[in-house]
Amino acid sequence: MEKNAIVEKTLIIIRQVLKNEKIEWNGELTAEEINGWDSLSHMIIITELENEFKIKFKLKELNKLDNLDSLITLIQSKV
Amino acid sequence: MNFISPGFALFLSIVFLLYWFVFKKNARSQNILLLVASLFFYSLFNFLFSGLLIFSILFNFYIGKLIENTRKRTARKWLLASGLIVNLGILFCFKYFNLFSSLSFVNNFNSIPQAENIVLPLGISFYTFQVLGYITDVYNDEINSCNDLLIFSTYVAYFPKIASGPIESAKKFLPQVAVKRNFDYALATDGMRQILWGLFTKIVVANNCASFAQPVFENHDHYPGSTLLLASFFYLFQVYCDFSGYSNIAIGISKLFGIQLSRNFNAPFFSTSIREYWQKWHITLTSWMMKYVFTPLSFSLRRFKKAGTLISIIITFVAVGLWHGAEWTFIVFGLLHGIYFIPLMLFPKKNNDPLSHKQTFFFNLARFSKMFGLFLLIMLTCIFFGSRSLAESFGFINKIFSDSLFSSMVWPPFTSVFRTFITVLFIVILLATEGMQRPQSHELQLADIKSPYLRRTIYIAIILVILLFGSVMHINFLYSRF
Amino acid sequence: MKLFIKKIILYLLPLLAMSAISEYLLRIIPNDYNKKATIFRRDPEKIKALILGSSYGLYDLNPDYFKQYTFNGCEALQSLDLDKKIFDKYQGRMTNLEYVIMPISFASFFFKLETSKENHLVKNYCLYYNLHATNDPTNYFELLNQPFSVNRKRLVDYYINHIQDVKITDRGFDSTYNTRQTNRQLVGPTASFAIKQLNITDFSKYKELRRCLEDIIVKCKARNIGVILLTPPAYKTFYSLADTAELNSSIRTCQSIQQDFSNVKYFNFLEDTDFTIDDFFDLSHLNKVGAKKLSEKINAVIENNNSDLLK
Repeated sequence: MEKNAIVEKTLIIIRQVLKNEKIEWNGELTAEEINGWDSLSHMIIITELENEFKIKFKLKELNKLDNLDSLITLIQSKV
Repeated sequence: MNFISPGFALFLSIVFLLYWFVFKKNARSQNILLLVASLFFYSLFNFLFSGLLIFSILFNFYIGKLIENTRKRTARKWLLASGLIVNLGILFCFKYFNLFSSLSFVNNFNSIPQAENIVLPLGISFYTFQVLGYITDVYNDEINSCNDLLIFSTYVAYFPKIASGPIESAKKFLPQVAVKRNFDYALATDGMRQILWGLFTKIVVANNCASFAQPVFENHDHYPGSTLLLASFFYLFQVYCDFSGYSNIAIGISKLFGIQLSRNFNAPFFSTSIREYWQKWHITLTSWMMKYVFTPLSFSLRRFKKAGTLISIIITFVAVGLWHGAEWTFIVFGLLHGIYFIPLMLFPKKNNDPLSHKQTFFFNLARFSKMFGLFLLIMLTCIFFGSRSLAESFGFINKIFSDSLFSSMVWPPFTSVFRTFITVLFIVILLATEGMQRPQSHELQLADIKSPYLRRTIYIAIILVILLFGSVMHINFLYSRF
Repeated sequence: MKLFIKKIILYLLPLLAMSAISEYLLRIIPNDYNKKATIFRRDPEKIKALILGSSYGLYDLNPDYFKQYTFNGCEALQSLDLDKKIFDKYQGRMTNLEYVIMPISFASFFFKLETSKENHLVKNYCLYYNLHATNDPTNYFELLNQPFSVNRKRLVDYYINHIQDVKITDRGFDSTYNTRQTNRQLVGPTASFAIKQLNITDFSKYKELRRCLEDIIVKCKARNIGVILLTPPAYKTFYSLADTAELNSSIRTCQSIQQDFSNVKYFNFLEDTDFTIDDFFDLSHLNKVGAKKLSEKINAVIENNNSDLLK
């Protein structure tokens, strides 16, 4: 799948889970920098991403994520 | 040796001068001094338990190296499991065995736990969680194992944080002590300011709150609902100011040595949701629990979607309660906090700000109502936190909601209307300062005040307030018992 | 670094100055200890009979009822080791001393102030009697001895509210036990509870404290000074409920010491029926009326003393 498509779908999920339509894509943003993205919402987002892209993450992989770009890279490697 | 004692002031001065004038050559000599000072500090509490601390250091250092050097998955898992079992086993023995072995605890919600015959090693909950986090991070390949025993020992035993945290992650702490620290005037003076604020919150606010709250919690039968309500209010601030005061002092002391510790509190009473509250209260414990308990748990239960997340949250907060002690009151304390997340999960609110770290300076009625409502919910849990048994807690709460809520106050010994008023005034000053200083790393970071004379006046005013209104009757820090 | 240290000193200097002034102001507040120490220093040669001990001497023996010039050197919780230190310091100057009177309670051979919960009182002996009573440096400074809030209150009470802390007469007697506490506190559950609080659990100091007493006696013997030991009177609830092992131990020790030393005379007033409920302030302390009675009895012993009785 193309990177842009992954970014688009990921952004939709993030906006839905965090109930915030104003979030804009910036690959360098970390979870801490996005309002409402904490451990709770993190799990919900991950679950939704797994359902959307029909993939399964490993916990170790998630622990190594630095920012949104690394999340996209991880999804790309599994799709 | 309590942080607030002439003996500790002398100890700190000596270590500080030696650190920057004698042992300044390189990181190794600085760490040697810090380690010796830390072990000396620890041994003053109980010489035998410093043996336990040393065992914990050596065990976890070598387990970490073994985990990293073993590439076979099963073997690594077993090594991690051994590390967890040994560390948690020691914690269990000291904190929970005595209480679980008493049948009355297991069978009777009303029992007041008798734990006098086991002395808890100082800081065991804090340093055990640190090393648990360390070996787990090594296992998860998040960090490399530490190859220098001196650096690792300094990390575990470091005296400013050994007694009551903050619970530092190895990822953040180890790199700081791996390099030589050069004296940073700005950091050191900032540390002194943070120490001063910590002394104010502990000696003035916490201890004066304790003068009212402690006698009431110890003898709640003798007081009407009106007094119990006020005592709950003061108790919550006692716990907060005691612990945040300690944390500020610890972080400030560490800055004197050029080492930054994690922030542990960030104006939690300005939170408008339980989620936000736990991001600002005992931050290092919450982060630890979220990373090592909630995240793996919710990850494995993610197929149950929101229900899985909720169950994980409740279990995590019961664990938070248990961390404080294996008493029903702490378990209920944790459970309540977990339950408070349910409405949040079921009815999430819209969020209009894309980025975090935006502080709202202006209060509106809606925001204030949320803060106040949350404050009352937290106050309720504090009744369990401060009671010796569930029966006491329920009795306490029952009385608050009885007719005696409207009875006239019965003043605890050594308190008066004037003293209570002064204590409330200081709480207001504390909250106002926290509210204004939320963007700063601590409350007394006055970089925005350009006039040095005004800044110095503020520092001197705080010193005078401590001298005139401070109380050292409840000098021991509450969290040093965990 | 220099700038940092300079700033610290700048902030510390006024604090140190304030501390020094507070320390001085605290030390000059009149109290029972500095008053007694002053009398010891000023008129030692006048003292013919010296009373040494704890609260059982402080409240039970009134020098006004002694014919000879008697001084009460007792203080609440003053243990035998401190009695010895005081005696050693001043006995050389008490050139006319003829008798030393020491009430011995159930706790005298087991209680040492320095190792008790009230050990902060040792500072009074260090600061006002100039005794080396402890190795703990906090007992050599008023400010370090107690929390600052306590000292702050002392300063405010004396210098602003003009509340006096001196309770003793010029002969060292504490006359504040005017009347008895209510009957409720002399009998029944309240009394039982009070007695339980007094029970000794640590018996390790016996040898050391007995040696302190015997040392005083030996020095008195060398100077032909008579020593009167007495078990003070107690209200009947006390000796019927108290731990008899402790009581009997003290009594037997005094009896044994009387046998060992020819200059010692021991009197057991514990169950003396001359003392009625109206003579007691609480279970084991006399009030002013009872103190008069006991003092007159001891005075009679001294006045009727035969040449072979005590010397």
